[in-house]
Amino acid sequence: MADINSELERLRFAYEEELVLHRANDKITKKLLEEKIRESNLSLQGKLIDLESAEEAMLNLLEDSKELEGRLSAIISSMGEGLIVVDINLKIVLINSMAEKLLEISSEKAVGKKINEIISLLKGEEKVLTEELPVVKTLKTGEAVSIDLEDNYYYQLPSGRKFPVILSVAPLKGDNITGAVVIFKDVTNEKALDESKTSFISTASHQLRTPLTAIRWYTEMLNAGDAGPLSDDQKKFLSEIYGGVLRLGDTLNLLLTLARIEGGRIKIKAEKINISQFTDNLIKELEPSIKKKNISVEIKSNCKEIPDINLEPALLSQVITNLLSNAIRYTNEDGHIEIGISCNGKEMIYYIKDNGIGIPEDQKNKIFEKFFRAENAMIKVPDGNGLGLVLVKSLVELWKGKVWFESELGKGTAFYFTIPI
Amino acid sequence: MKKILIVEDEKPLCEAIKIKLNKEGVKNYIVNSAEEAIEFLKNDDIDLIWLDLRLPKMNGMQFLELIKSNPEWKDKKVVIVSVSGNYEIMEKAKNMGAIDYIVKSELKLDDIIKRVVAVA
Repeated sequence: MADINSELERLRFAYEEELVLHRANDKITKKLLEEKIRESNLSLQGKLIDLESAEEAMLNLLEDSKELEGRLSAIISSMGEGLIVVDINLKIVLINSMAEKLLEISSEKAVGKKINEIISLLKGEEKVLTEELPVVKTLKTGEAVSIDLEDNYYYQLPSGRKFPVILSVAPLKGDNITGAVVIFKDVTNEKALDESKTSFISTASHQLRTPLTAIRWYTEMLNAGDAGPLSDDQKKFLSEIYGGVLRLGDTLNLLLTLARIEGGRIKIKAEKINISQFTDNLIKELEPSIKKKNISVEIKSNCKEIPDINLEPALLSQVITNLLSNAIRYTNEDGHIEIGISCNGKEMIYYIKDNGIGIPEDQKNKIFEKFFRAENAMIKVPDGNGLGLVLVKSLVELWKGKVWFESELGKGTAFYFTIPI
Repeated sequence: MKKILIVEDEKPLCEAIKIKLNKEGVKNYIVNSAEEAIEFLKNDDIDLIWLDLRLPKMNGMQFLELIKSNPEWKDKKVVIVSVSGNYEIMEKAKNMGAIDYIVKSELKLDDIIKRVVAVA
């Protein structure tokens, strides 16, 4: 009986122990569960906040895009240029108010029509064929096309009205080309101004050169004795007149060339040039003045092989001749001139270096100004016009090159310019 | 004897050219406009036309075009002698059939005369 009692006691104890343990486990589990739930809640709350902010961001974005659309449409409609958007089949999908005005057509009527139904493009007097139209080319190649004032294009309307135009066409691209944007401007005023400038230059050129030619020819005839023999004094006076006329002619030519460059009247007609041979020829042309001062001329090059360049010979010749004549004029007797060509892959650097009088330090910054002449240059060569270097700079910049110099007073000057290869 | 027709509207220049051509023993006729030149060509034959570009009414380039499109006159030698000349206009004149283009403000009169007479 005692055994049974003790066994029962042991079992009860074990049960209670088990119970305590179980309860403790339960507590832990509950705690864990509670913890988990709290965590989940927090995470859910976080996600909710994320969602809310995402929604807010979306709304903002939508608002921004609406605002952007509004802004874009305001920009498009207030543009000073005409704008037309066409699809891949040349059909107009958008036309702004300036284009409506210039092309005398309402947006309702234009949209859906092909662009070449409402305007013709003319180059000068000739109508541009459909396949040659810039917009057609852009749709075909995906490349932007632009037409400038000097290209001489016109838009002609079905009414017959015609106006000069500059335009640019850009492709609209997704995975493929989906359309194109044409932006154009009526340049009637610019064209008129351009023509009057050209006409002024050509009239001024003719009106000034004709009397100069008459003075030159008659001076030559007097000098040649066509009007009878001359005394020594008369010859001397005539030679002064003649020198003045020639200088005036040179100055006039330089001024007119500069006016043409500044007015964008000169377009480069590039030809392949062998620069070494070209330089030799120019040296030959100046040989009388080189020999007269007993100047030695040396040509140097660091290029493995001197590449041919593409430039208009007449323009390059003016640049080299001007720099070389300056080198000759401002170098003393028995002086030395070095002409150098160096290549760096992208461009060629051409230089003409003399051991002449040099440029005074305080006048270096004015050397490319019109009519400027350094003091020592005026003493050495009184009859310069101060335009040669201006022309050199304008011409080099015309072919997108750079020009600079290094000089030391009394030691010499080197002028450098670049030529694209 | 070679015969040259000078189409030049500037009288002092015409006079100078005439004196020099006479000295060279070249027979020369002077007219002051393209219209007069056309009338002249209808009646007289010449070896060469010395042509200025800036002329009253019809200009030198228009006159050159007219000469070169006329079957009777298209083989006439034409030398342009103008006070100025840019690359474009020189090329155009040569493409249209001018045999030379001389910029008169850049050369001595004697040199111009020699160059023209040589091709007449």
